[in-house]
Amino acid sequence: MVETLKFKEMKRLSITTIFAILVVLCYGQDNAFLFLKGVPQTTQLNPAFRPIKGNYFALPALGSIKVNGTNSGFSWSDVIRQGTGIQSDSLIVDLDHVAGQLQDNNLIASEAAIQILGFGMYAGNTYFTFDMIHKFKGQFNYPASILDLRYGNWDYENDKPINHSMSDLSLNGIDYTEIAFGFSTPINEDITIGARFKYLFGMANVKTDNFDVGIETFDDGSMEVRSKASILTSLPVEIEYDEDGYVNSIQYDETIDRGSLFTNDSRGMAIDLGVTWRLFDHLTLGAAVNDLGYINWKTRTRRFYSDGTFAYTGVDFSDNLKGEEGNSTNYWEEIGDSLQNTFQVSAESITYRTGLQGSFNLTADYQHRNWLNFGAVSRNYFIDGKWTPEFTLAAGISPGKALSTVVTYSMMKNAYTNLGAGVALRGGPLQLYFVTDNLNTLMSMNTARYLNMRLGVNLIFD
Amino acid sequence: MKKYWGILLAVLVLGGCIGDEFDTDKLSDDISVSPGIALPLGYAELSMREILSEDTDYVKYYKDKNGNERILLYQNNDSLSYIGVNDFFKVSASTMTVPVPFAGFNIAQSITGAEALDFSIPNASISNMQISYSIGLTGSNFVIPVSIRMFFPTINQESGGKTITAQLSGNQSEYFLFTNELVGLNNNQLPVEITIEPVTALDFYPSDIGTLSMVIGDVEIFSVKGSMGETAVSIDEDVYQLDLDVLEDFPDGITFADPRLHLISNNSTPFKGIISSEFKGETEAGQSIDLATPFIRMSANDDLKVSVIDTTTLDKSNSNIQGFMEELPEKLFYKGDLVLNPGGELTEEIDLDETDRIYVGYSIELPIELIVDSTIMDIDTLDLSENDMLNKLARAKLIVESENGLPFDANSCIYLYDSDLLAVTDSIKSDELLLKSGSVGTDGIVTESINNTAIIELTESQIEHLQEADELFIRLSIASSGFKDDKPVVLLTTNKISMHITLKGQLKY
Repeated sequence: MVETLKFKEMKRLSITTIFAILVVLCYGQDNAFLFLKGVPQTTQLNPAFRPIKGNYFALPALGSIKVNGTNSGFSWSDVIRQGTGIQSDSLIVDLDHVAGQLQDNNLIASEAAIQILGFGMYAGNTYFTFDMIHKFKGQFNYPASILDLRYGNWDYENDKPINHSMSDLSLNGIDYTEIAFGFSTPINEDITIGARFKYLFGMANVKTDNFDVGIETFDDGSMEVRSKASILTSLPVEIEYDEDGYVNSIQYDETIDRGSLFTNDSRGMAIDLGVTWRLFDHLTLGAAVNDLGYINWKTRTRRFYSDGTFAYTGVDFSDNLKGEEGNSTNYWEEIGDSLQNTFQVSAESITYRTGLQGSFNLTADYQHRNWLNFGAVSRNYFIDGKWTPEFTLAAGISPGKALSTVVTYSMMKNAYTNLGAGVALRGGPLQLYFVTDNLNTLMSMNTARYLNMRLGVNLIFD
Repeated sequence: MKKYWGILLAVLVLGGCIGDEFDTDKLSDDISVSPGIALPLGYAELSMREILSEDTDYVKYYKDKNGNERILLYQNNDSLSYIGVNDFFKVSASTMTVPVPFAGFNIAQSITGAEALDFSIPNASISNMQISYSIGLTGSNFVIPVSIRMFFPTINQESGGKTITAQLSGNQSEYFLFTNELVGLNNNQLPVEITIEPVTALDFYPSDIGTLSMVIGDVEIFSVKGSMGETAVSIDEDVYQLDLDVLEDFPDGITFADPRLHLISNNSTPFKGIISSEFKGETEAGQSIDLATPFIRMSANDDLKVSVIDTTTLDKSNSNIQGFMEELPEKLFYKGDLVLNPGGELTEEIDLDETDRIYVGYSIELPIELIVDSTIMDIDTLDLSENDMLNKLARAKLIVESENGLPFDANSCIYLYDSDLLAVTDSIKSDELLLKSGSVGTDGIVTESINNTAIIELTESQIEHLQEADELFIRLSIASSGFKDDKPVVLLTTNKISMHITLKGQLKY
């Protein structure tokens, strides 16, 4: 018997889930940060940058804390809306409105990073950096058609079947620590190049290898449910198998030595490459490719897979017509067992390689006055072959080392108006900074689809 | 320190959440969706060979002149009861009394005498028989103990006869059992020589007179040699189930084109006979129906055959068998009377043993060539009390798609029962046929399957009653093609039917 959660019980769960999507899962952006002058961590976005003229030391675990989040499909206010008519004094879940907001492919994504250690110093004309950063990146792709499930499997008005395909669903997540050595050096008066070489310690990973799930209904009402899915994981979990060797349950391994997450055999390499080119006296162009690399996952790795097709044509009552005893009493139980058997999940050990969800950005920085600059950035992500672009215009005021500010306007996937702002304050060597691409998110959480913040504390000696 | 940054971050983020938009108490419990559903409820695909399998004990297949394999329902009770030698030769117990004057022992040492026991054997005379039997000896007023010796010269004559002895005094008795002995009779009499002696010699014997009684009884005949005149034998009434399961669901409305009941006698005796049978049927409702049956004339087995079988067939030309089977009796009561060797036609002495019997029985044959206009009552009952989906049903229709190679139209009626009201609150019936009969030729055989789609759209009232109902009863009506013109149809083993039943609807949440 399938237990169903009553909506009352689900209400708070839904709210928690939406907050989780908006707050915890963050991704991309950092566009305003690119134009916040004098902050050493901007080299993480383009290793050719030389934001300070001296040395710096990031306060351990406080040098850079970054939380980015995206739900390109919908915001809170797209889901929870004021009712109308007899429900005018209530909030309602408006799935029709949500469906209208979705694009064909939608993304819930996140990126969180914390700089554990970091410092930079000049040696001659070359600026060297060292970083130890723990990163988490994750994304969940979902098609707009997922909400077509609310229509059921039959268009009663037009008397035709409604088919469902979840083939564009995917879940990917990666958690790792990088140790990076970088440098930035001018090759002539106008061009500076930079690179960061990273050694990666993989900690956990989920990768959708293949996902093809669909429900097809035929004209006579019979249905076929197909599921062909394969998910690769490197997770500290314990798996219980049933007597037939199929996965029965998956639980977090409470006995795991957390230190082993860092010292396991899942290792990788990556590189960031950057260049800046002073085109004119006041105009500098920049380009960077970040996180080009991979991790070979070898520890606690498994491939969970399921491949089955279940056809449902109703109860065979031929036996009843033959005068034989039917088995209707246990029929639904048999259907349940048959479904379960068809979509059994198997698990096998496997080693595999993943990329790092890399990005590249193009920047233009026009230094109109010593204290005023304008900029533009195009950031682009490639996620499972899908291009996710962003574009930002920025204006910054930096009257001196003590204060640097920036305001931005960004166009992002399915959200075309995002105001950002950033500020960096200096008092002696101590620098505090805070920057966001989505100021309007903080002002109006219920309409937010993007969230981005980066903040930190540095000691700068210049 | 990390924790403090986390708290600060949460405060900053959640600070924007203050407002009615996040007041969960104002959130309605209902999500307005109206999914459409198509749910296959069931299907069946089968042939008459599967519906009426020859593996069952009441179905037989046979080929007609055109090579079509037809179906026959039958029941065979060809040995309902039998009549044997003990029924023809009814040997009653024989009794004899002999006076014993004790004073005679003053004159002679023993008293002797030759007597004969008379056997009562109606309308028959036996010269020899192999039997089991008992002999009882009883003394009456035996004032002195005596020794009794009885000699039967015709019992086991080839061994020199049979002697039994006993000592009796007062009113004592002795009882003897014998099996499988050959007994010879003269004019149905058994000769016996009796010798009685005192057990103890006395100087003077009293003048009292005692009586010696002898009874030969418990006669069971294994074989007999003799002659028999006309003899009447009763066949006791018995009841038999008409086990044709497939007919159980049809309360009425079936007329078989050519039902037949065969009355069967199987005679291994040299006697002719006339059997007067009485058949009575009883329906499930207790209604009694008589089946008029003619006399069965039984032939004599006079040619040393193992047996002679005589069959008298009742069909619609000579009986009311068609009307009798229309009532679909579930029980058959049968009894009869047999007149054996009518007129004493056979006068010669014959030899019979226990294997020489007369069996009587019947068989019913119902070729599936019939006219049907019947309602099958409550073919199924569904419990609806725990079906949440029904409560969300806003619109619905049932679709029955069929390819019918059977010569029957079918329709159904679904009754909705509300246990609170103890009443059927509504019924759902199609305006059109659910199943349309296959095309039928002049010989009643289906020539082509017919495809049909029947759609039953439920009204708002029916949906409302369906949601309130606890149970659902389905009744099916079946009519054979051309039943109004009394044209029978024929079922072949190759006739097939397939059907799919689908519920399509729209739910309202």
